[in-house]
Amino acid sequence: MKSRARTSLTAAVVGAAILFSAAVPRGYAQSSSSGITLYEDVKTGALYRKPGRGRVPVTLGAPPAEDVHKQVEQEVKQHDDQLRAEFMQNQQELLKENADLKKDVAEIKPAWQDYINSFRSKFHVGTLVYADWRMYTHTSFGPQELTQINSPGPGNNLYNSFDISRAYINFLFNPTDDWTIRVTPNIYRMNGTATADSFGHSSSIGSNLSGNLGYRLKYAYLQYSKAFDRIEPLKGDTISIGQIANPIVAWEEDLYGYRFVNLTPWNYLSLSSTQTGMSVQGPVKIGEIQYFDYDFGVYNNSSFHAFEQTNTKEAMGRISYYPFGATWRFQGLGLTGFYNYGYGNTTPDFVGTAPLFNAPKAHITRIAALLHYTAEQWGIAGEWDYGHNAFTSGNMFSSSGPSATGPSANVGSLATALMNNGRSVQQGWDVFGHYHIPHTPFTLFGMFEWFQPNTKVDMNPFDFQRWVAGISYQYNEYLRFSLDSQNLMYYHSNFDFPAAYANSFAHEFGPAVTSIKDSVPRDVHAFFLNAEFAF
Amino acid sequence: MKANSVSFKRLILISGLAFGLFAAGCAGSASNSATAQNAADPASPGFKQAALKSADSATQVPASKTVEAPAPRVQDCGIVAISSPPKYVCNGKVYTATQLAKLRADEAKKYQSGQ
Repeated sequence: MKSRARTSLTAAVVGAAILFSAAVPRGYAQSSSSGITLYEDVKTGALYRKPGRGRVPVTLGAPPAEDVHKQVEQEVKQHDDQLRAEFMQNQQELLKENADLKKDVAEIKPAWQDYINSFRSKFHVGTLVYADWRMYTHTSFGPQELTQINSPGPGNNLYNSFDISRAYINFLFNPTDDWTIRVTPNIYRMNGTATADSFGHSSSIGSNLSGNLGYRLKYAYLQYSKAFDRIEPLKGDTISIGQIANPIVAWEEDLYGYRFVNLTPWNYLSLSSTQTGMSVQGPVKIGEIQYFDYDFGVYNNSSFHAFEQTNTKEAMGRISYYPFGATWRFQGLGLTGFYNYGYGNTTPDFVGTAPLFNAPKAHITRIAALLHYTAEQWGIAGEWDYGHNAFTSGNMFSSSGPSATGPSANVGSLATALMNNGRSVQQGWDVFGHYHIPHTPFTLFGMFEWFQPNTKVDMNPFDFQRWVAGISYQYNEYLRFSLDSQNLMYYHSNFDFPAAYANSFAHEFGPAVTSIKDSVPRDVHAFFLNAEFAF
Repeated sequence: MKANSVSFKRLILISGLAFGLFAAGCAGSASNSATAQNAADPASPGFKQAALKSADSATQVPASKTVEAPAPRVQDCGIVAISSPPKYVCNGKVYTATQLAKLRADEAKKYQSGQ
């Protein structure tokens, strides 16, 4: 009872003190922003307004500012420490991530470099460009001196032209060491008089086909080089399929070495350097010495830039024999034989009409036999050529020929009768060679060709001789120039060809024509400045 | 008597000179023969000395230098193939145009650097 009364009294005093705190002047229970300060008797627990013996201050309400400040400081410090710890942890994690990223990048880089290096060793891009400036002291009808160039007929002396006659871009890819893929586009001259395209009701746009140099596919083939690796002498020989080089032309161009100046014999006459088909080729070596070099294939009858129409195929083969062995491709004495048998590019249901009838589907034969000797500083070769239906009026006049309505129209018809009749026989022989002048970058070179387009004609006005002579300058490993004279000579004296005799080959002439006047074309003489860039 | 004393002195002088010349000659020939004898005798110091001398001579004369063959020039090579890249044969070995160009460039750099 007593203690309960005491407690009640104490509470009442506290309440009164609080009430009085606003009015009572400070000096006793102190009221401030930090709260009310009373004094507690430590023995009894009573609260008094005034300090005294045995009494300790007790603050009621808000704690003292200093204490608050201290507490805030502590909490802020605690918070700072927390933040710092979090920051350090984040930093550590970031550093670790950076290290991991660096490691990943370091692993990627060699892989990328490795890819580039292996790609670089498997892929090659090259080019082969032939350019020239040519000037004709005498123009006439005849075959092209180089592909993609033409010259006008007689009466156009001093005709001259800058030309690009070849612009290969060679893409070669070796995904593995036994396969090669080659794709080579090349330029070609578009000739033709297409009609204008109508453009709306009353207008038209002229054709731009004629004269343009366009790009077409020259080579596109797959080549495998390990088919014969088990046979030591044939190790490295290849099988090729696609649009590929035929067995004779590219080989002979390398033997001659001056394709950038003029065409090799069968290429000049009628045989393109490219055929579509498949072939097998390579050297036959005993040890490191080559004794044979061969190339055999089966191809479309069409040229590589025409539709194949036949249900047959043509075969070609070349074999070169080096009786004393060759330490490199053409070295020393060599004997080469080439044979080609095929058919004219016509569909099986082709029905010919007069005057040529089935001549366009007649068989075609080409033969070449060469004897050649090649050293590092010089080379010489002799060749004999023989053919059946292998040289037509289209080949004869591939540079330019008589127009159908011009003064020499009958000469054009005469060529058709004598060469396109399906029973013509060709024969010719050639000599070509080169000699490097010692200790200079100059080489002398030349070619002579004699050719009879049809040996069955008693005196064929189109029999010709061709000769090329020049000097070349090797500027560096990739660039050569040459200055040369190129000449085509129809060596018979001019005469009037009897029309009746011409009709015995193909009935080209009606009764109104008794003879073909001036049947022998004029000669062609020209100077060429040629350039070759090969990479 | 005076003339006799002069002659005697002259004789002594001449004899002395002659003996001196003889002795010098003998010493010279003796040393030569000794050297020759010593050079011939592998065990003798003279031989070793001669050998050392010849060795010294050998080191003084420079040994013959190995002369590198010049890089092949494409102008002196034969054509093997006009391909991509072109191939040439030089002194029996086949090179590509790129290899020949590199050999030429490397040789030019060597000459420029004075090697």
